[in-house]
Amino acid sequence: MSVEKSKNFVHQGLETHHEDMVHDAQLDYYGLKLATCSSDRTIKIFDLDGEERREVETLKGHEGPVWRVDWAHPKFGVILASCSYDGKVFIWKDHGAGSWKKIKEHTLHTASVNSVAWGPHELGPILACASSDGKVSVLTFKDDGSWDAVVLEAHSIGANSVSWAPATIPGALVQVTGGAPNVNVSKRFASCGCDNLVKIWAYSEDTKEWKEEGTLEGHTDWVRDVAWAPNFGLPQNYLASCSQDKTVIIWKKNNPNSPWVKKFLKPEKFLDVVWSVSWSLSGTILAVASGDNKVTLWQENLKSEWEKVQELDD
Amino acid sequence: MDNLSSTYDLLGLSTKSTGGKISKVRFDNTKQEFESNEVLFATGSWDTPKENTLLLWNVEQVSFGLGEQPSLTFSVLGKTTHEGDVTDMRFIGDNILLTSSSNGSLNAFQIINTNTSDFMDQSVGTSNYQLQMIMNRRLHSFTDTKNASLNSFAIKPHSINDPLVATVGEDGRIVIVRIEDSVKDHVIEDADASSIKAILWPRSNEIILANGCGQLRIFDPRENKPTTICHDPINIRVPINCLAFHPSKVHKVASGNNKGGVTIWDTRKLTEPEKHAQPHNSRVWEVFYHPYYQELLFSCSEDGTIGAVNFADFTPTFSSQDSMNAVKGQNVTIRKIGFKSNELPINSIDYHPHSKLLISGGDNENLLYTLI
Amino acid sequence: MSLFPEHNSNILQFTPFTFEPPPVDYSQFEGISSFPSSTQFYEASVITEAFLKEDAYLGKGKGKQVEENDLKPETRKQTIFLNPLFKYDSNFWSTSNQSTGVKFHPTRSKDFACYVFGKEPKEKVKKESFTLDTQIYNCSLVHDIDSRRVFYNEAFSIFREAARAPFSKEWREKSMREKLLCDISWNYVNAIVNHIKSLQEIPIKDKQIQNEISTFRDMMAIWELCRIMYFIKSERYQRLSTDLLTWLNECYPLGALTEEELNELRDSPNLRNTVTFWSRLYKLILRGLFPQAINFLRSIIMAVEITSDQIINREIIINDIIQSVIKCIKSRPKMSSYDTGLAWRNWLSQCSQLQKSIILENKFLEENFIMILKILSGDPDAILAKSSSWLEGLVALVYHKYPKCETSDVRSTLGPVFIRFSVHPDPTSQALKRIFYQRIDDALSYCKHIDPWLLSHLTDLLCKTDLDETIGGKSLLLHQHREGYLIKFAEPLLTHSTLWQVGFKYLEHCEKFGKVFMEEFVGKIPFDNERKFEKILKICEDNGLKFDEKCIITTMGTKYMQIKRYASTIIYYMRAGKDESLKAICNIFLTQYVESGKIMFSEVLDSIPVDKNSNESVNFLSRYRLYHSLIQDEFYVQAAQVLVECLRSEISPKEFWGVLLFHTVPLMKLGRRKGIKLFEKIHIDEFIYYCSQVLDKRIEDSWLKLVQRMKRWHYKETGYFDISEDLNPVKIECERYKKNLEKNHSV
Repeated sequence: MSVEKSKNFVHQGLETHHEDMVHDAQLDYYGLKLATCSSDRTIKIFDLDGEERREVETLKGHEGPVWRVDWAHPKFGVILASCSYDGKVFIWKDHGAGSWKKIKEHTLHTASVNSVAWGPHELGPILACASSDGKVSVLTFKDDGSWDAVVLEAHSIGANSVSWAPATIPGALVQVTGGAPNVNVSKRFASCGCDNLVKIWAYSEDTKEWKEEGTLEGHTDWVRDVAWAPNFGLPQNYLASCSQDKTVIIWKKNNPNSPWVKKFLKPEKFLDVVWSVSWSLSGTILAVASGDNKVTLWQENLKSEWEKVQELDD
Repeated sequence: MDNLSSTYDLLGLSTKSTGGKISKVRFDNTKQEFESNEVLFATGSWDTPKENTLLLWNVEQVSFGLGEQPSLTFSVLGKTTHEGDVTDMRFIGDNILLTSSSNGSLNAFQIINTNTSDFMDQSVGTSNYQLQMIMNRRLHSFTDTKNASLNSFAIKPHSINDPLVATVGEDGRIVIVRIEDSVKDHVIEDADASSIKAILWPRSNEIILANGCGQLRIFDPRENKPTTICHDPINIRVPINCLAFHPSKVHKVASGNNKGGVTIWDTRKLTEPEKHAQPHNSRVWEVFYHPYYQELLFSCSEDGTIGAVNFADFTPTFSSQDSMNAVKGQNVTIRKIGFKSNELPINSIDYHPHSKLLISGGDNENLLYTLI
Repeated sequence: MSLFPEHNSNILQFTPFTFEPPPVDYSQFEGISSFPSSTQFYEASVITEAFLKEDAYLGKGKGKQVEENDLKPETRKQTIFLNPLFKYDSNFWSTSNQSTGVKFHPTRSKDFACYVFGKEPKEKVKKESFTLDTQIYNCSLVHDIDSRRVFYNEAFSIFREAARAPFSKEWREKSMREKLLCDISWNYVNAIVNHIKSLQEIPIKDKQIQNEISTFRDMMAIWELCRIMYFIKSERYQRLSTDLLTWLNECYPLGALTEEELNELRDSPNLRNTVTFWSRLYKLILRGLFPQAINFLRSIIMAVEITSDQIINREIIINDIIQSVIKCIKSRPKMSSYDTGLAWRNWLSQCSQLQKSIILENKFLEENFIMILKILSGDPDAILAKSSSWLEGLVALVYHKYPKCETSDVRSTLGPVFIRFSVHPDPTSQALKRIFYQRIDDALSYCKHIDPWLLSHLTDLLCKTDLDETIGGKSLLLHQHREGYLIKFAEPLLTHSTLWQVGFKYLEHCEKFGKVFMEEFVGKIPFDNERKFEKILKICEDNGLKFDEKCIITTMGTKYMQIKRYASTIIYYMRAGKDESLKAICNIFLTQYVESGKIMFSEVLDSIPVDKNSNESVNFLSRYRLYHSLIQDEFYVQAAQVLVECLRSEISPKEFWGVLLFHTVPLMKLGRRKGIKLFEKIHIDEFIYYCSQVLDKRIEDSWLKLVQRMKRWHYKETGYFDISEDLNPVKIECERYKKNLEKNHSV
């Protein structure tokens, strides 16, 4: 491991010692633990303490490459979800003293599960999964230890990724404070898939059902990743999606009742397939990683155009 | 007591780095006061990951004349890093500074004067002291890998030549160790099922603990079970953060709780607190009795102020389970001492009676002081 | 290269990928703003832009300005190694099974992680034609603010002082208010100066420290100028010109003579004829550095004896002129007295008389003397001709030509300055220029590019002045921007490991969005001991963040739950009102009893004082434990009472009611045998009712399991065999007890 430091840009490398390709790296809620997963079928957990990194655990159990991992909010415990090419979703829990155990197995998918994402903690422990069988499933964990699984027909050929909306009701400047947190919270997520579509799913408290709330058409090839931006209680919602068609689209919804407006991040195509998008903590910067080994950072300017802030380039 | 009627606002040393947010300030009270004009104290920091520091200070007073406030010159004599937050600190004899850490360890530092000059007095400001770690023992942990904060320690009375130290922490254990001997540790495993916040050792056969559930527990260190458990019925389950001795009465103990209250207890009659006052609106981090005015209790708090409660006029109001306002202390005089418009917590206070100097430190990374 | 020593044998070479900020960098848009893209704020910003474009003095748009801005200190290329390299002409990355991935940091808004990830499972990939890269790279775009900790803390206490000022009684009176603001402003400047001093004390100054010093110097220059221009108003006594002069000499001091100039002066046979000498003297005069100027002049007085020699006479004349000039400089009226008008006019006419009287053969000397007198008497051409920068020219012009001018007059003096000088496009110069023009909103928009601390704090303090009134009643945008600037400044503090408390304190002064930011960030502060945890909670309490407070307390409880410290868990869940979770813990304990027949939780309960308002599950456990200790101590009457209470509370899970019912059997037997009335008839009826409840079909399964477990230890622990799935022993004993009661009753 080598650390390079400079004045205005610091980067540090962490050698994961996976025996095969890494597929995902995910920091926990506080940014103090890192989980990585790999084609070597394992998940590794690292403790990050300042510049010190310590591998604390290797989780084994999946029978295929592990695609993605996601940490639950710490108030539910030290809990990690993982999904794999083997079609399974595992929930892992640290029972203290570093004794990790698999506490749940979700095996309702019939093909590779490509993505898992925990919902906002205000909604309780809730997990969305996207699978190559074209389905998206939502797992809800209850206080008594039981869990519910809802499987939704989502994207033909396959669903690639899911991303949850912030739990705050758009437009409500003040976030749900105190009282019953279930009132006024938004229970929504976006999924994307091989049908070139992004879909919005919403839970209706009346019918107790997940419903497709919207279909966003714009990409001309498989949609690889989707990311819902934090909104800080403001009415606007931003959603970024990236695709095999070498474009990134920013979907913007100005208020809860207005339609999603599509805008290409930049008029010309990227040089290669865009594989992943990520929003900064305050939702103002979008990072785009494309197959040409570039990471670019983008920011909306005063004229609502997206401008490149920084670029990882040669 | 009259000299308390004027307000004592704190002064700050803001331009000097104090090594981070201060969690502890302690005077060196081990030296005879008439030995020199040199007053030593130490500060320890917290929440500065990897860089918590211990500083050894010297303060010199120069008086200009009667009635004039003497001018104070502070200088840092020595510095060392401290692993984990400094949670408690005390000078013991032989130039040793004992500290405890949020990583569960008890540390001892030998203070070594590296200045070879014989003319100590002239070069105090520039003399170099080294703080050399001579002991580092991890005493508190939840599991092998998870440390528990060592919150407080106490030294057995009259054991100063071969100090016997009792430490408590978030793991609910009492560990009694000798500094020079790591073999014969005595551990009381389940002294408390919650976390222990503070400890006092007023008599050799009596240890008093305060816990995170608002209880006081009294132990005979030879037994594994508490002899008494009690709590303040008005502040039920409010964590008690700190304890202090009475300067002369061995059965009197003061405590500070998480809601800004200070309480005086009589350990012979613990069914209910003897006196209570509410000098603060948030967590009290430390309390101490004025060494001469023994009805005067000082406290510092998360609300960013120091409180001085005069219990001399205390007339007990009737207390009953139903009345939340009972023993609220309307009959005590409370004076607040603050620093400019500081609102950041004050974590620690200490007083040097000979030089009448009150020092305190907190989360504004500033050493605060006043003469009282 | 050093990153991958093990890959050196690989055919692929490692080419660095660089992080290069584009030339326009942050300055062109709202910056790498952490502020939400609210329309409201954008609208405000758009107005600022429009404002700038109208800027008649600039004569050019803002875009140009930025292009010219070549002073950005941080354009160094940064290298990050990703493996393998990307070549545009190769299809390697497209065709390989690899791509880059990126994830933003969950708590730091300007950190992110990059890594190389596989696109397909290896099962699907035929050739393994790639270089394995299993590294995760953590990248950060932020400057380290750690070195500013002392400064930020000090500045924060001044900020608080400023925030409190409007509530003081002095505030009501205008002159007092001005004094108060002036003092606060002065305190800020002092803090800046202290920080510069502490930076200068650092023995080894790398480039970063150099940059920091220059940033703080810029901040000082801007802040001091604002203080002079905006904060001091009444009771100035025509001090503006001298204030400006002091400011110039403090913030942009006349540099020392260069080695070259020194040599020239040293080697010069006659200083009177040396250009360098005069140009230095002009500077001293322009900058009002009169004592030094006088010393300079004295140095060219030649010691001569009075003879009839013509040459020497010439020297004497020159000496006389020098003495007259010195006298003239010395007699310049001080600008601090009230009535200087007349004195000033007198002095000017003396100056011009002297000027007219100088006629010398040495035209070079004559010219220079006249020039000095011209400067002293405020001749704009002379002043500007001899100034080397617009700032020097402007301040000298004000000092020598308009010594009595007011703040509002300054802008009218600017015209000729900008005809002669162009202003460097760096943000500081641009900001200073606009401060002179009293276009404070514009000035602040340049401060944006200097430092967020300066921008936010200066805006905040300016908002407290009557600035709108002073500069023509125009409503200033800074009021709208204040909060945005403060949040932008505070955001990096919120996630800073030490300064987070200060960050949250700043948010308390942001009425509109402060709370939203607090909610978003407060839960993200990591804590690993109770003290820090309590400090985080204080922030929630102070700001009414009830939901987040509960959430944090729950997290603490869960942390203890994970390591099975149940007393702490219960205390925290009680604090958070997590009734469901407490019920779950209660059930864990009851299950333990069912498994082992032992009360394992008594020490836990010892630590938890309960009252009637406590959580019902905890209360139940506490009562149930009391029952056991009463039995142990043979207080049967009290034990029976507590047992009835436990049953009646109906808090325990239904199948556990059966356990409670089993407990009644030995007590009933004992009562009958010893003739003690432990239960009333009504209790017995209740027992029978509860039996029917336990045997309800819906809980049969869990009930059967429970009885199986209890059977393992029940005899050993209690000495009673009376335990069965159908609860018959209880029912039978109830009947017996009832009969016994009736019998006793009839007796």
